[in-house]
Amino acid sequence: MKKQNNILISFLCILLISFTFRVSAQSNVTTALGMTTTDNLTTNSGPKSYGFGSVRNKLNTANADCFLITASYTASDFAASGKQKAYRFKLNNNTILEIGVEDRDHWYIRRKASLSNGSNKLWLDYEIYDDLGVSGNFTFIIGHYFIAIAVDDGSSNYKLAPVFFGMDSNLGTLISHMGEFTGETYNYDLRDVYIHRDSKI
Amino acid sequence: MNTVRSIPDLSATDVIIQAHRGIWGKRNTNQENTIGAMQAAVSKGYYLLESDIMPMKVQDDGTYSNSSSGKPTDLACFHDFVLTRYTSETNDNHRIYNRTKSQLKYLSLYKPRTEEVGTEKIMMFDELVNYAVNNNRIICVDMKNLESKGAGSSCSQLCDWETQSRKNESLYHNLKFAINNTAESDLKNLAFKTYAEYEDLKNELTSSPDAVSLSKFNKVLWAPLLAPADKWKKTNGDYDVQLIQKYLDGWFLHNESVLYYETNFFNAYDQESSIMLKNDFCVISGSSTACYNIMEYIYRMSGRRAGIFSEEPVGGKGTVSRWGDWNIKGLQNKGGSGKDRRGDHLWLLSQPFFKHAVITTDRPDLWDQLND
Repeated sequence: MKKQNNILISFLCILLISFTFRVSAQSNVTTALGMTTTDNLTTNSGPKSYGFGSVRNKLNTANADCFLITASYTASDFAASGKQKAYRFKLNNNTILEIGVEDRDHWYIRRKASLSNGSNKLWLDYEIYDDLGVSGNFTFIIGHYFIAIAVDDGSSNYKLAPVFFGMDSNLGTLISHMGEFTGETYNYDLRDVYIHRDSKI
Repeated sequence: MNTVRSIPDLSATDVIIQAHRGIWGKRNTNQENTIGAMQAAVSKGYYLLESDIMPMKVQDDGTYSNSSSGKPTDLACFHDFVLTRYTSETNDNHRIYNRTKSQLKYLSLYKPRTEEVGTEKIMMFDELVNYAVNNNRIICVDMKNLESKGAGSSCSQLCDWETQSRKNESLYHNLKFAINNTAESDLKNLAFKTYAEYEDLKNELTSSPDAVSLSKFNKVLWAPLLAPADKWKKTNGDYDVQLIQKYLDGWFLHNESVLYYETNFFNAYDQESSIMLKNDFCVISGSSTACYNIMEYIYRMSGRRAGIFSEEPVGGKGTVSRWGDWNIKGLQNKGGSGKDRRGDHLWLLSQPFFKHAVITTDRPDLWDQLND
């Protein structure tokens, strides 16, 4: 209950993107969330996969709503053509999420649900419409309802492309839901994404 | 109206995709509601294209607060009243309803999700009709009308267009303009979304001023809309299934004029709209009664598909209003406003009979993957 109370009172605005409100890149994502490197799943360079069970267990143990992975890539880490996954997670018994890069060009998120189409389980690939690039310092914020990809833009700013699924996991605490949020960069396009401070492992 | 039609293979997914404002979401491509966005949808093989249509240079005394007319001088394919969201217009007092065709054509459109001004211009309604006719496509028209920003003492714009009767007045002006200025042979390529009952539409559109001829009216296709609203409620606040059925039955009698039936519900738990997902829509046949959810009821009674706007994002901040204001939707079961799950493709597909819906979507690429 204490945990829940903490969750309820601790909304944290993590991202404001504009040309007038600049934030530093990678480190500011975790700083804004009140996280330290020990809270994150930090990877080495190159695509990597986590076992389903380990992620699920960490989420459950921490009663967490989301977690972060930080990683550094260059385009050559990925195949020149086709889809190549960077991470794959099983977040609950019904939901599998996969993050990857297609054609060394753009990110995609693959989502599998318990729904079936005839005898086939349904997978759905969300192409990330924003041009985030595939080289740079990335932060992946992963939850039951969403995945957000943030990347250092090379200066003091960062770009963000969150994708929201609307899955009913009874754990998610995001207050917003859409099919996809993407990073428009007009000067007046401030954007807030609210995640509870305790959304971490 | 007690004929129950056979149903399709429920195990197969066979949604019809309607490209909402064309295909336009990807960075640095075509802006919404442009000829480029429509061409992108056609190149992907979609037969249903959707577009917002806005009245231009509305005739009045020039203030738009005490309009005595509200008739448009032309129609444009555009979503907002304001022009500053994605055109090169910088003067916020220049609104689409006070601009002429030549003034709008002077403006350039930003490419999606960039700060680059592209070469595209605002498309006029007649250009869209010609494109649909020449490419054998159907345009589903989301006809806009003048309406106030805010209400009562907080109203700040178009305050003379606050009441439903004034909004309807503007809407019928725009519908009349669209139909009267489209060749009768081209009307087969248009369908208009409408909340109205068939008889009301007929009476309003075929009467003066600027009456639509009966011959033309009979050629028009419609997409009747059902959405959560007080008009469907009983005095105790509960939704009245029989009122909804009465509305639908009225349209079933004119089924030849219906392209499809649009439904609108937000999630399975929303008390305001979950009625559409319950098997409360019943058909009496002899001594037996069969009950279905609204999707299946519509299909069985009319042979037409039901549909929904899956309400995916317009941009980085959620959805946008006609005044350019952004709104973020809420998650289901999380309280607050919103509770809208329509952007969840897999959830929508899990709803009974939804595998045979008409899906109005900003992400046809996602729905394509789900079709068998």
